[in-house]
Amino acid sequence: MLGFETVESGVSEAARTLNDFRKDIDVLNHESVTFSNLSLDDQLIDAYREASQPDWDGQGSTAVSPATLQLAKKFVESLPRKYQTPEIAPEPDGHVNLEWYNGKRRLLSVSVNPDGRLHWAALIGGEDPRGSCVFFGEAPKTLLHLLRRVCRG
Amino acid sequence: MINPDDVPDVEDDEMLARFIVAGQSIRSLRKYVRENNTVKPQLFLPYKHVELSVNRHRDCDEGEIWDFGQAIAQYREMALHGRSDIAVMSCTFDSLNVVAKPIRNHPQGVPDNPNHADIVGFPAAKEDQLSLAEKLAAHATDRQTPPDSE
Repeated sequence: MLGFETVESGVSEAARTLNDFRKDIDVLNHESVTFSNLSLDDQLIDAYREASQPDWDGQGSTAVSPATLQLAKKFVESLPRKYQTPEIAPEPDGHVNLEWYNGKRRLLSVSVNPDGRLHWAALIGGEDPRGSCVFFGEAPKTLLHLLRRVCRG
Repeated sequence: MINPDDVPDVEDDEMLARFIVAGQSIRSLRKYVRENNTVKPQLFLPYKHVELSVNRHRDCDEGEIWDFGQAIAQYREMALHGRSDIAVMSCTFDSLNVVAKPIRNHPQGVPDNPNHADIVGFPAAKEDQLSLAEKLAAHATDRQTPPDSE
């Protein structure tokens, strides 16, 4: 499985936080039976590197916390394996965005906020379903239904 | 560019540019642009405000449009990765509208820009913002790269 290299010790608070986050991901990887998507971890680490400090976009953005990235990871892992490859990006409000894209008018965006709430919006042809819910560890049925529709054919 | 002393209202047949400004790395660019060069909804997602900065093409040649983008990137100490264009008509649906918002003598030193405009009327709820951003991105052009990057 994935083995992260150790960040140089004692360099900075940010480096320590990143190192802790990597260790957490390592643990999760080894505990997870079904999880094998390395690119998900790479994307999460990229998001953290990009957005772990306030004002990371030069426009007053909020830092993305390791806890929010962990929530995003848990949400993705709660999905059937075939849906475990969204594109991941930090958002300026400190949320983590997950996107499933199957064309300009066939996509689903889920924004994971630090409190564990999922905000989602899909564009499927002329339909634009959207909503929000708290993530309790299981993939919400509405999102599973939308994922099936977005990823179909 | 537009005459700073006589900025006209935004008209339906105008085109707008949304600049793609991010960190230097390609991975930073991936927040806003997919591998197939289509732009993501994130490029059209407002933050803190319920408006989104864009640049009017009006009275500009290509070089001037890019100059505005370079000035913004320099001000934010980021890289200009390109732009995506969108018609004003594609930004005026649901609660959205486009208004001229020229920048002049900005207190924080944002570069003067008579062609600056805002897409206004974003709702406060995140899922509603996402939904509108998806629709804007669906109407926007693929990323165009700055002339000096080719």
